Amino acid sequence: MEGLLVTVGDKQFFVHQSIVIWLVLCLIITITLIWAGSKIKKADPSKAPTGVVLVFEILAKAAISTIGGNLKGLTWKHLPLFGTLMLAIVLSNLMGLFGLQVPTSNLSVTGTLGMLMIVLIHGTDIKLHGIVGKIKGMFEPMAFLFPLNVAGDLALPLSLSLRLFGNMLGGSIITGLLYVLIKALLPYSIISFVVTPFLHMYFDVFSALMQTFIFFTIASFFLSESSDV
Amino acid sequence: MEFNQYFVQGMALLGAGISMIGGLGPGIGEGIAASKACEAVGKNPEAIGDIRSIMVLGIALSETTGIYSLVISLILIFLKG
Repeated sequence: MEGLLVTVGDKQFFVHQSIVIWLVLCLIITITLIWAGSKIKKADPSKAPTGVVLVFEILAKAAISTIGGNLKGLTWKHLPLFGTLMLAIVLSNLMGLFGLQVPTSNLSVTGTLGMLMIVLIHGTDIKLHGIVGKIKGMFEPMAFLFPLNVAGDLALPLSLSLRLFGNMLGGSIITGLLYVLIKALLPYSIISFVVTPFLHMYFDVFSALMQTFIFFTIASFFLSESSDV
Repeated sequence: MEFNQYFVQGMALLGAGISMIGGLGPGIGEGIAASKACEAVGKNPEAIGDIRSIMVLGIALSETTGIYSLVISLILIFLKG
């Protein structure tokens, strides 16, 4: 499936396969979180958690261990945003295991995530210090470091989105090329199906988890810098 | 010499090859990081879990510029070549 052709009124939009998968994933995560939230409210705090409550407690602990080292006091305040995004990005990065197009291998998706982090970081800075305080903060260690600080602030969304995009796109292209090669040499190359699980293990499982961990570590580090924790 | 589409195609593929020279940096840098991690484990074998996670974090961060050059190569190959 290359994509969906959506007709609204008299205009037609072409929605690419990776964006359709992202939307379906977000819908599934929303419904699962609403259902799990109602179960968590009825759970008993004095007994050990079981079932759904246990799964989400493990996920919350993983999210806290990622961002808690940077945002010490403000972890609970920012945990809903970071935890939900972490779940969405991890699940979408693992879509390469099913042979579908990975949503984060589309620059629109990663660019949007990068922009989201920038609005969060600069918005927190402006809300706490005001615009004048923010500009004054760029002269902070020494006055001649002002261009370096500006360049660092401009490079942050680029580096966050391009790192995720490049890793996912490169992984899917390399495995795709290997499958094309296997198909071209078909009767003799059945033996190479022994090798492909290892490629998937590195590019789709390890790289996916590692890249989300790094994305949120860097985002929480800059957020802690701008909110003076 | 006329500059038609074959010229552009050839130059794009040449540029894609040249831009992968940027893969040299992360290779050297990650090797240095791994060697420092091995030294640290040798000095303090109990902290191997912490050393391993910090090493992997540092490696994935310094891989970034190699990924930038890979993205430029892929764009040149698939859009112009």
